[in-house]
Amino acid sequence: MDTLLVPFHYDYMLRAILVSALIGGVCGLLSAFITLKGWSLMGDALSHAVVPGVAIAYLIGLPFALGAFVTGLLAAVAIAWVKTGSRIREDASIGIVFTSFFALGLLLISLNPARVNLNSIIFGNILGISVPDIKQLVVISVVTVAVTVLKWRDLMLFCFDPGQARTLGIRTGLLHGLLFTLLAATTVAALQTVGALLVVAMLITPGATAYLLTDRFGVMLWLSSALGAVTALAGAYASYFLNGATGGCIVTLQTLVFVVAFLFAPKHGVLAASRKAKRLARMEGETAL
Amino acid sequence: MPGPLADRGASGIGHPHSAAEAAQAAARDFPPLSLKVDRISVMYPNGQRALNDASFSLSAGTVCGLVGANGSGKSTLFKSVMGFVNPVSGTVRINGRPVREALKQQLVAYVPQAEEVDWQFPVNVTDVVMMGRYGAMNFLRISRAADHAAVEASLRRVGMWDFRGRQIGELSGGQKKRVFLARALAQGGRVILLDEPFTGVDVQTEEAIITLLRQLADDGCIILVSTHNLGSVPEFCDRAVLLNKTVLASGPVEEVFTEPNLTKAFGGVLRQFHFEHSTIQNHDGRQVRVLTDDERPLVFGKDGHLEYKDRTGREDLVKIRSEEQD
Amino acid sequence: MNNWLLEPLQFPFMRDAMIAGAVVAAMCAMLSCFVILKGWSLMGDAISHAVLPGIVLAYLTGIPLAAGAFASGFTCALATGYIRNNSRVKEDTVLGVVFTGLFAIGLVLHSRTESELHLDHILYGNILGIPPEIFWQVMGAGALVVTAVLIWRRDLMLAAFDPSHARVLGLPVRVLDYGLLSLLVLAVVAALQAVGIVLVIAMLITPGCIAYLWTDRFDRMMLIAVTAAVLSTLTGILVSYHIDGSTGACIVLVQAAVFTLSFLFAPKHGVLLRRLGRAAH
Repeated sequence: MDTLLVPFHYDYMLRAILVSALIGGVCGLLSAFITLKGWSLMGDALSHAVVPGVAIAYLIGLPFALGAFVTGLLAAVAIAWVKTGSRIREDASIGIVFTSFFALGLLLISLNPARVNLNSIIFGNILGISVPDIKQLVVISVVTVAVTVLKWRDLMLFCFDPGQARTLGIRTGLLHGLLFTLLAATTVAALQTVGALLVVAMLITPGATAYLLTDRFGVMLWLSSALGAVTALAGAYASYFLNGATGGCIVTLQTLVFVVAFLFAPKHGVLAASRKAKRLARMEGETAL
Repeated sequence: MPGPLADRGASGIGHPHSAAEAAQAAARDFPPLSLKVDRISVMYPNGQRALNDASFSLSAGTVCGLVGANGSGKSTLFKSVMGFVNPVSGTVRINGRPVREALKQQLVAYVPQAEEVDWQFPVNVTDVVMMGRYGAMNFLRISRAADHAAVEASLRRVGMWDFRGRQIGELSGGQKKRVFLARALAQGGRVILLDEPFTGVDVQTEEAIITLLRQLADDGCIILVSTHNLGSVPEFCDRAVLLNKTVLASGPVEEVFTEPNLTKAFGGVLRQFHFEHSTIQNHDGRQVRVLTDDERPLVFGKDGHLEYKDRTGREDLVKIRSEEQD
Repeated sequence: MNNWLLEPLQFPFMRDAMIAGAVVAAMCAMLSCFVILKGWSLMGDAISHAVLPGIVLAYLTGIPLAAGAFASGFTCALATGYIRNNSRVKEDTVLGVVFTGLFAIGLVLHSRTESELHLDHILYGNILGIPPEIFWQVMGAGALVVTAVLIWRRDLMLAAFDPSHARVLGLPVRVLDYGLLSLLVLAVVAALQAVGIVLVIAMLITPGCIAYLWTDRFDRMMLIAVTAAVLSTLTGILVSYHIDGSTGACIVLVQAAVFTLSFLFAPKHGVLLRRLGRAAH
């Protein structure tokens, strides 16, 4: 019993667990929109594209969030440009741009190994997070949650039916920008917890899990945030016993929860579906007789 | 345009002097063709039925329209004839043999819907038609003189030889369709399936494609065209199959295209217009104008007769109708 | 200039790196043509991440790393297909969930093992220090992939262009798909050595995209892709030697530069000349 409580005796562990839960919740909230909008690849791209920004910010002493945000935005513009300016498909355009950005970040870091810690960007560094960084994260989280709570109906309509949103007089361009900004902000936040390579999981897995569990968007919103928060909390806690691969633990846990939902979800799970198919086949057989 | 038949490989690339000779040659090279769909039922993976107990049969020299609303099982039926889905019961036979064997003999050819094709794909017109020859080529798909000859003959036949170097995305809608038809010809397909061939094609090109399809039927092919464009079916099909999860009716178009059948197939989708209930009066004479978003509206006369837009070529029908009246 | 080129070549490790790099570039470039035409970019990215747990487990159990990587890469593809077919979640989301999950498991496994396995080398590549046995693995994989693609490229192209027609002709479309997937996994495993997990995907899409902007014929596209990839890789390795920066990053950045030039100046599909053409009309 005592060993289970050990993590709470360390300040840094307690801090890491709480910050992880906060970020997990915020990412989960947003993931409901991302999965429905089909922006999974965009999330992946952003998380890689922010790396050069973070590197530069550390090199010249700016807040890391600012640098990340700028290169994330640049990458989005570049992707849109390649996609509309040539006949290359969207998925390939995204791939080209984000790998280029990531390579640039990697090169910058490899040229200045002493001043930027590559591992803390790639894998996150929640256990050694500094107080100013926590402040940045809290601000990002509060703003993201506030904006989402205020505008979630507009955003839902935008994800579901942009055309309808436009006919209602809602500025869809603005919503697009808003959702993208929120995505970029949460990407930056999650970077600290799980690192660049696993951010995308925080941004889609809770949403995908919730999508299997409910048919109501309102329910999906709080369900995915709750899933995000709880898995992040539990994952960070578990990582104490697992040599500190915090990101790996959180994301592994999220994936496990997804698999459970995929198998056992009451309506959309595999088992429920196969029961239903069997029942249908039986009914068909009866009517045929 | 009795061009050389592309579909007979090297031996067939002679120059028959008349259509009759070509037809004779075709009859010599191939036994009379038949397609028999016998009581097939197909299930979706989720346990729902896509097709139930569907049967019809076609013989050589037919253009057959496959008509039904969305979700009526048109594409499932196509997939069964192409051997892509295995029916849970019933059989599809081509020349009395299972589909798999017909595929091996390159008897079945398929012209995809325009939306299914990636028009930016880096291939030109010749490349696409050459793909029709892959089944006949060796393991490495190296083309021989016979393959090139077949490609040229097919392209000339559909009138696309001058466009052979074009990237496929640079063609018009009708030209694209003709290229894929040429591919079916080059393949030597005898049962040719066309999926919604007239969407995105202007009426003139539509006529050109129809002429080509009729010629192919006269050469002894079976042409199966899936379409939701009801009005065009009587104009170019000999036979029709009406689908709604099963075959509601099949046979000559005049027999299949009756109001009760079409109502059964489309339910409330089709709108009816009764002259006696309408505001049309006797002094309007026998002329009305029909405006519709379908290029070719379907018009039924009194007693539910199917009416054609042109009486030339259908003099006997006009005679029968007037005799009935007397 | 001569010195810039020749001086690095006197070191055996540089020669090995250049040879291995060229082979990796050529095989990835060939596959990249199929990847971008089939819309498999995300699949390539997913597989490249998903090989991590396989590599760690293979290391722990003493089987060849390539075998482990192959198994877990394939697991990712199969699991994604299964989940997509049996749930209502969109394919790209499923892929994202699966590959991040596998990657995360790989990280946890790695952190639990006191291993000599350098995570850095797997993530960012280590072509300048490539050990002899890995060098020969890369050569073998390269020979296999190049031969297979040369033999089956027409079938693969047809299956990518019009799978229904391919099936009607009697081509085994599913087998071709899985074959291509296997080649992809093989290429990923080999390319890990050059540029690392994170940047493999660049090798698997950028050359194809470059070539796609220059030509409308498939065979030429493949030729251009291979040429562009090999030249960029060699240049990238040389640059990284001279500036002492990450080799994988340099290779990818040189490729990105070539792509940018193509995007701007390619004769028919480039942005600038098309704009000029429109202005002339």
